Amino acid sequence: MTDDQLILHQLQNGDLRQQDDAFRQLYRQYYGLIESLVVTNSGSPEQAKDVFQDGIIVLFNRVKKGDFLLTSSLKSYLFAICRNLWLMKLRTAGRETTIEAHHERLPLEDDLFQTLVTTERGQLVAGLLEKMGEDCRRILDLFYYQKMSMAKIMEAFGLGSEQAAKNKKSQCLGKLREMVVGSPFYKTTLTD
Amino acid sequence: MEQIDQKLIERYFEGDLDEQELALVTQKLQADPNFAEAFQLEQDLLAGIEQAGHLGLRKRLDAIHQETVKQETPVRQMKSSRRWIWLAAAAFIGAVILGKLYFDGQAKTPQQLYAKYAVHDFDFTEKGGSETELAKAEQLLKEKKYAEALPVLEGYLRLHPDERQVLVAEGVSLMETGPLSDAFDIFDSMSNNPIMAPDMAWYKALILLKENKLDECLAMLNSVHQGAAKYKNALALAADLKKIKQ
Repeated sequence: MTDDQLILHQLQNGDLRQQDDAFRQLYRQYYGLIESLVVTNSGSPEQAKDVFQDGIIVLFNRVKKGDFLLTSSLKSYLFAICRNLWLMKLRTAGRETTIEAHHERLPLEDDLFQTLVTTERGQLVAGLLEKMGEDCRRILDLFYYQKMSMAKIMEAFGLGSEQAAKNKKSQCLGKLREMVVGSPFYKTTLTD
Repeated sequence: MEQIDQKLIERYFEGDLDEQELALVTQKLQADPNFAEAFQLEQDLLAGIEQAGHLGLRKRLDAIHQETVKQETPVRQMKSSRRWIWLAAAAFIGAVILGKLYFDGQAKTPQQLYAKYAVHDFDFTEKGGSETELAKAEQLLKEKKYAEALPVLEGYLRLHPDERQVLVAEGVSLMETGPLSDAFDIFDSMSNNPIMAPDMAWYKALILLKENKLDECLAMLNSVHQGAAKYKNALALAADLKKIKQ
């Protein structure tokens, strides 16, 4: 297994410690590269940190989906993501620019950055999620965010069958649904 | 909203529908405003779960950033010198306030610290707590009647030995009533489970605190993972513990 494959495997398997090992590797190997990209193109170290972390979130979000296929090196892929992110930030700030970089230009999927878009209602739900019991928060995170399989969730929670895990997940989602529907703030956002 | 439609929407977002069902969703979205509203709600729920996931991930990345990108360059330090002045001033004011709080109401012994931090909250309704035994156990735990909760939990675990959350509750009850070594063994047995492991270090640290093993407790607190629900509590307890050790 190459270093890149190992990192991808660690990101995919749902074990927090292994994921953190992978994030550490990404930091050690590529943070300097991205910092240099941002700082030499009108950015600050603090902005470099944000771009790098956004880049990791985008990468993580893509890798979790089962159909991810790395067709270049992880370095080139992460660089392409961060380069695009920084260009977007510069454009949003009204600073039209190009970034000269001696790296291959990888084509990226159109909806790759959609995951970083935050909505008012999404934030409200995230806040209510915090108020749920630990088991529910965890199972919703594992299934919907970490994209963990029902088989693994069943094992992790010591449930008797995949169907039991599925029922539990639906029960928790139902509970969150009730909390959201009962929230006066949610109704306000709908009428705005 | 009918239960069947709710299931349909849930399965839609899980990518679990066949072509016929997909067509039905499209048709209902156009024809039924209630269905469209429920669809929108589901979208918001999933967006919220994703945003919460990102927040959690960002906290973990911040900690890794602190750990791996420690050394600032002199140029960067100069650029941010003014910010540091403000930060230093804020830190000073914060220290004064914290100092006052520290002398006013600090826990001074390991036992007081234990009482401050060993706050347990169990919600078995998510596990189908309408089952009489679990509902009874939950009520006893809420009333801190740990000795009475123990036999109920043990009875439940005999029939459902893999119910990890109930096992944690048994560990907590033993932690409160003893023997502590049995409680430690329970938490230790779950430390290899990737899902349960992050929080087990926290419970083991509480036991070590109760046993007055302060150095071991600190070491255990340092191993509480950033992804653990009790991570912030672990940081706060470690800070408090260092104060009483001084």
